[in-house]
Order: sequence, then structure tokens, then C-alpha cells
Amino acid sequence: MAPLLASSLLSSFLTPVLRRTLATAAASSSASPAAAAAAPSWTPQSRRTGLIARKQGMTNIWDENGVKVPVTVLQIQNCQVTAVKPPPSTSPWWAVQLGATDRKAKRVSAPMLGHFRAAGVEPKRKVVEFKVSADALVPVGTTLSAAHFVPGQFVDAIGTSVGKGYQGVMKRWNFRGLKASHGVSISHRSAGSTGGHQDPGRVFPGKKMAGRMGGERVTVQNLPVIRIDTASNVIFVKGAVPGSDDGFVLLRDAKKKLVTHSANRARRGEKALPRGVEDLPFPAATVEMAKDWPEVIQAPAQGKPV
Amino acid sequence: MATARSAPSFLAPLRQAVAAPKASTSAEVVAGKRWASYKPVSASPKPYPFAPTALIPDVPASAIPPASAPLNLLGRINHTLLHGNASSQFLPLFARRSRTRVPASSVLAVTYYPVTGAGGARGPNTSTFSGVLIGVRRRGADVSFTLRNVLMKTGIEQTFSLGSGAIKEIKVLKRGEVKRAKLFWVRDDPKALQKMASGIAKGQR
Repeated sequence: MAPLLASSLLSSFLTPVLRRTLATAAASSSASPAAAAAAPSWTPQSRRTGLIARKQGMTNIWDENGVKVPVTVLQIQNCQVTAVKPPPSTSPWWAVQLGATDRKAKRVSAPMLGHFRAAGVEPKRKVVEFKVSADALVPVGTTLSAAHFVPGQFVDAIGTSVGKGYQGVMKRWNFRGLKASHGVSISHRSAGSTGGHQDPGRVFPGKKMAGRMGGERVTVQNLPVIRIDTASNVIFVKGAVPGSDDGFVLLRDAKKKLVTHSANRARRGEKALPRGVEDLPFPAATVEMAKDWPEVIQAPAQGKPV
Repeated sequence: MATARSAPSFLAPLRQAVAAPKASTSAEVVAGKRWASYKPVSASPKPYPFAPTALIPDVPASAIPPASAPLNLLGRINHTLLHGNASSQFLPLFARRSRTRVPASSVLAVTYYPVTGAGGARGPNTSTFSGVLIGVRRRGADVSFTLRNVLMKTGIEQTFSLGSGAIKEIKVLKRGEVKRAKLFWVRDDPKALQKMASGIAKGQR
């Protein structure tokens, strides 16, 4: 890779983005023998990559105390790194680009086919970038595993919420509507007044009104990871996650309960990670690494022992 | 008369359940294990450095369906959970395709560990509730049933979740026969409930 960059003949073909991507790949591939000796480990200031998962449905798991825990089943379908991008001048964060769920090559556009070929991965359905710190870069072409998340840690789940169509203000904005009787004519579920009179003499922009609801990006924060199954690459998180079954869900370390809390606890000199979690796979857990760990791992019960 | 479809091969353990005697005087007893069983991850041959206090579910090989079974991912997960946790002991009585399933209007006596302490702690003592089975609710890995009884002129219903591990033992006092899965109409018809619960020897209650 290095001789390629130095060649003046090819430098005219290298766009700024390609030059940066090659530099990153060169740095990571040449650094891997040296890095193996000093593997980076998670620090409270690091930010790891997330994963792209597919929501498979919900079920229940009974913990060792006989308590029923509702869980969402999320499957990692061949999630691979397709690119690593250096930070722009305005931000300190690198970007790790992931692709998830293989797709037939005939259904993928030619530009994207070239992009996947350059990364050495099969064509994917979904491509998403995650902001990471400089120590958390993952080489292009790595296949990530469900073991990237540790049972007992917290994650944020981001998905496209179920579309509700055109909805009225009572459903969309929790308006209280008007009385059901006592003379109210026709307007039982309406918004009522939309503003003042001559002053201000207009309706403010952003006034809550009826309109299309759902089908938008929603983040559910601080979901505990209950179980990991590396054989079928499945993560069980407690609670519900936005979107319908088979929808794409982005999972990342919880910004509040994991990232920020850990940094604050570390600053106070306490144990940084949540209860039961000693370390996180860093920079990411690959399917090769997951073969060295147990196949199914579950978090201990959250409540007191019964 | 419609012929019954046999259960798929991966549900074989249900076929081998105890044959139910028709006489109402004899009672079947099915005993359950206490809670869902887990092993500490430290006991496994492969180490897990990230969470030393984590657990590994203790799932018997019979609970895992074969790869050829016509199930999607969630179907496989629900099958493994249902046949691997505390519910598995009672599936011959409550699984939809079990040949020995108890129909609604049967009379059951359930011995269970009631909640004694805060946070759902269940004491070592047991308690018994008997009543008419008015419904079995099956939702993937979650199977529960409701018994109805009339105690001191008050109608009482109690719902038991199979997966909780709180059930110690279920005795079938009388096997019913009715053309319904759910008998919620019995709440408005005490005479019908009484008729379903009649004919049980006093010693068995």
C-alpha cells in the first residue's frame, strides 16, 4: 500500500477520500504485527463501534431467580466492516462503516458493488457508519460477532419506528381532546385552539397538529443486554426496540449508562463499567474471537438474589 | 371423524408421555424442578474474561430442535426456551400437540411455592390451589394456565406460569371433556362450574 501512495503516476487518480482510506488501511495492516504485541484495550474515554442487527421478534427468558424478563431477539447477519474514515477537520471522531445482511449482486448498483469489492466483502443491504475514537478502529473486511456486547452492559437501540400513517393530535401528540358530550359538536378529538387572536395573529411554526406519525428514526436508550448466542449470532436485550420484525436496528454502547457513566466513575476513581461487566471486547469482537468464548452467555439477574 | 395429525418428529418427547387413565379416581402427579437452571461461566472449559459472574443456561440436548425442523430463528429460540426451562416438566399436560394434554374443564391441584419476601422471593413452604382449568395460554416460550374455584362463596381464579419454576407439582384430579379451549363463560354460570368440579373423592382435594 505504501509504494502505491508514493507513486506520482497514480496520485492523480487518488481522490482525497480514497487517499485517506488507503492510508488508514495501510496503517492498520502494517500495524497489526506490532499491535498484536500491545493490543488496545477499552478505556473510559474510548468509543467502540456499534453493530447492525435485525429485529427477529420478542420472547421471554426466566432468570435464575424465576423472574420473567421480556427480551427482544436481534440477529447479526454477516455484519462486516466496509470502510474506515478519518475524522473531518470539524470533529475528533473516526468513522467505522459497517455493512449488514448479504444481498444478491444483481440487485446492487454498480457503484456500491465496486465499494464492496474494494472492501473484500459480499454486497450488503444496509450500510451505516459509527463514530469511534482513534483507538477503536477495526480493519476493513472484519466480520463482527454478537459477542461484541457483554451480557450485563447497556446498549442504545436505534430503529425506524412502525409507521402509523396520518394520525390525529390525540394519538400523535397526546392531546386531551374535548368532552364526549355536554354540547360539544363534532370536535371531540380535535386540537381546539391553535393560538391567540390579533396578537400574534398567526400560528407558530412547529405547532403540534395532525399529520404523518411513525416511520422515523427512534432511539431507545439504556437497554440491558441479557443474553448472547454466538452460534446463531443473536443478542437478547431487555425490553422493546423500535420497528417491526425484520427491521434493521443499530446497536451501540449506551451513551448515558455506559459511556458517560463510565467516564464519570473513572474520574472519581471507582470501577468504571456497570455491575458484573469487567471489560469490553476492544476494538470489536470478531467471529474468530468468539470461538474462544462460550457459545451462550447470560447476564446474572438484575435484582437481589432470591 | 377427522384423523389427528401426528406431532412433528422434533416434538417426540411429548409423544412418550404417560398414558392418561380414564377413571377419575386415580390422579396423575407431575413433579417440577425448582428454578431455571444455569451454570456459572467460570465452570465452563472456555473462559469468558469480560463478565466473570455471567451464567450459561443449562439446556438439555433434547430441548434443541434438529437443524431440519421447519422453524425460523424465533421458532427455534422459543422451542429451546420452552423445552429447556422449568416449563418442560409440565409440557405433556399443556402443550398443544401433546397426546396427554388436559382439556379445559379438568380439575387440577397445583402445589407451588408462594411469594413470601420482597423482590419476589419464594419461600421453602408450599401452598396448594385446586380448581377447574378454564384456559391455557400458549405464547411461544410463555405457557400459563388459570384455575377457577369457589372458596367461601367467593369465586377465585389463580394463574400459574410454567416457566417461573414456582410450581412444584400438578395433580390431575379429573379429566374434563368440553368443546372449548377457554371457559370464561363459567364466571357467569356457577352451576356449570360446580358440575365440572363434582365427583372428586374428598381425600384427593
